[in-house]
Amino acid sequence: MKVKRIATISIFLLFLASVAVFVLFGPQIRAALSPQIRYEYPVMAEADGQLINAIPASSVWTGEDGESYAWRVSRSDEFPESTFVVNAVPVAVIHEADGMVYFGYGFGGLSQSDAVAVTWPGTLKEGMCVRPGRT
Amino acid sequence: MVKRKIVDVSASVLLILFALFIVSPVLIVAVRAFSEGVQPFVDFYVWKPAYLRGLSNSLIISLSASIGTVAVSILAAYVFAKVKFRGRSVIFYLYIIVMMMPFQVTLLPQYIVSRRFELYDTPWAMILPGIFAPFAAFLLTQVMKSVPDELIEAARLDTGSTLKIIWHIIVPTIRPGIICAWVLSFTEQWNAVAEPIILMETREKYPLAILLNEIQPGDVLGFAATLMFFLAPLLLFSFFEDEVMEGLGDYGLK
Repeated sequence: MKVKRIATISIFLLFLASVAVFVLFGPQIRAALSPQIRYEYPVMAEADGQLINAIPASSVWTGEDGESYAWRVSRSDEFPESTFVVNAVPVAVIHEADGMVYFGYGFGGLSQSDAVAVTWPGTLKEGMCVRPGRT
Repeated sequence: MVKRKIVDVSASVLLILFALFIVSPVLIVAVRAFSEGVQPFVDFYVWKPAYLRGLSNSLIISLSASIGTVAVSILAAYVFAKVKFRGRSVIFYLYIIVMMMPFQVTLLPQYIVSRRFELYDTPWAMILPGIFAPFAAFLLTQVMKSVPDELIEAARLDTGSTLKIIWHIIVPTIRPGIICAWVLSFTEQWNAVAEPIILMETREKYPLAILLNEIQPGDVLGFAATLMFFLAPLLLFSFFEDEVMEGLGDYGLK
């Protein structure tokens, strides 16, 4: 019986301590565990005599449905500290040349103000936390 | 003899099946929570700060309210059990009436009072009504009645201070009842859902009981969060099992 009481109170104190540690040091822990990625904003580039938005070709990947996507890097209300999240957004590809992908605006797709991850696109997952390192 | 044995075995089997039926939701939650290893628990602790914050809010509110209610109820129980004054029975019956009321009856007055005293959307809107809840006072009054008056009179000869008598004589005597009241109050506050929804607005201040509703059905994280949710009251009850059973059983029979 004494062993049971000692074990129970130990588990309870461990439980309280773990909650306290992860509440107090959660941002630091998430920052340490999140992969670091580079991100860039779309640039205006000339294609066929017109200025349209372009992002590095390394940031675009093909989804299971055959469509082109990019990982949008943004802040999340769930993580008020500096950890960012990535979300897959469709890219309306117009043209690809010289390592750049030229895209147009589509409903719910990538826009000029969205930052895209240019490293590790194959390893990222929807809603994944990342630490951004700007180029 | 054989017939009695058959009846005993049948009754035992029936009770075991009934107990398994009662415990089965807990077992299902535990099995599903560990179906993907420890990853859901890692997600809960690291990648879901809202749920972890909810768990810490639940701990803060429940511990504060339960400790406060025990401290207040010990004094109230001493007055109800040992101090004779006019109107004592009326006040005690009022306690019982309030205790019997469904919580929905007192929820609107609590909301109005919390707004008036600017406690709305703060943990105190949950903690203060919890501290002055009547159940612990009622339970401890029944417990306190079992303390012999002669013991208190003998203690009063040594010291005239009532607080010293309560602290040094009565509290050690009714320790199981106090622990029972504390554990039951903690569990009541831990499981509260309606009061935080009404008395709180900011999502960051919600206890985990409310945030569990947001998790999608079938999500393994939901099972892990549920397991974390009933870990605290389970551990408390497991540690204080003897005192809780004594507080509910022995004192209830008397």
